[in-house]
Amino acid sequence: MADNNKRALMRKIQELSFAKVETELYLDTHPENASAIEYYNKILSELDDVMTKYQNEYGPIYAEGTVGKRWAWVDDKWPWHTDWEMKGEDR
Amino acid sequence: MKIGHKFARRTENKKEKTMEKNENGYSEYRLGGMGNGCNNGQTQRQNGNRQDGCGSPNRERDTGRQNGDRADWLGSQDGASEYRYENGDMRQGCGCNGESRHLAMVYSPYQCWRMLYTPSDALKHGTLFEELYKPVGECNKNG
Repeated sequence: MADNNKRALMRKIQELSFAKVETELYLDTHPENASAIEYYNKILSELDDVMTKYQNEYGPIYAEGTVGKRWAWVDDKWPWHTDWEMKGEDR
Repeated sequence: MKIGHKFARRTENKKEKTMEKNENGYSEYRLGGMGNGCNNGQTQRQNGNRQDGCGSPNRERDTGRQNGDRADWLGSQDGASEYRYENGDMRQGCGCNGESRHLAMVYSPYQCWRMLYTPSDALKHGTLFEELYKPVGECNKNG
């Protein structure tokens, strides 16, 4: 159950991150598009929420997300080294 | 398929222009074949000699001359320069290496902010924009 929740959160992070990058690329050529900027800020906010939730429950996603006195970045598998990725699911 | 059709029509137009040139005194005006890429660095010339296709550039090519040939620039048609060599060969192209290839022309319409996928669908389709989802073909999982 916990693994399913972890997987769902990581999937959500991947989806929002992709939407974020796509919007950034669009804004590179349409810097004054208010709708795109509004969408970008919305995605950014959602992504921040989900990443915070993930890191609070399952540890840092990025090395710089490590807090405290221990370098917890090395404690678990790498964030992208998940069981469902290794089994080739979601492809 | 559409691209191929346009390409064929464009080539036909070039042939018509060739006829006009002939009537204006360019008696040996001939179209070279359309280039097909690097062709192992060689391009077959009409007079049987070979010349480099995609080799390193040099001063001779930059001036439109090749292997001692003298080439006169005749002008430009639709962005493609035309050259006439001493032996009568006529060539079209950028003129930078004596090729008979045409410069490519591309365009892209201005993209609008519309028809967005949800973030979930965007990741599945590889694009946030439904208008940009252009699968080349369905994968055959059975090989």
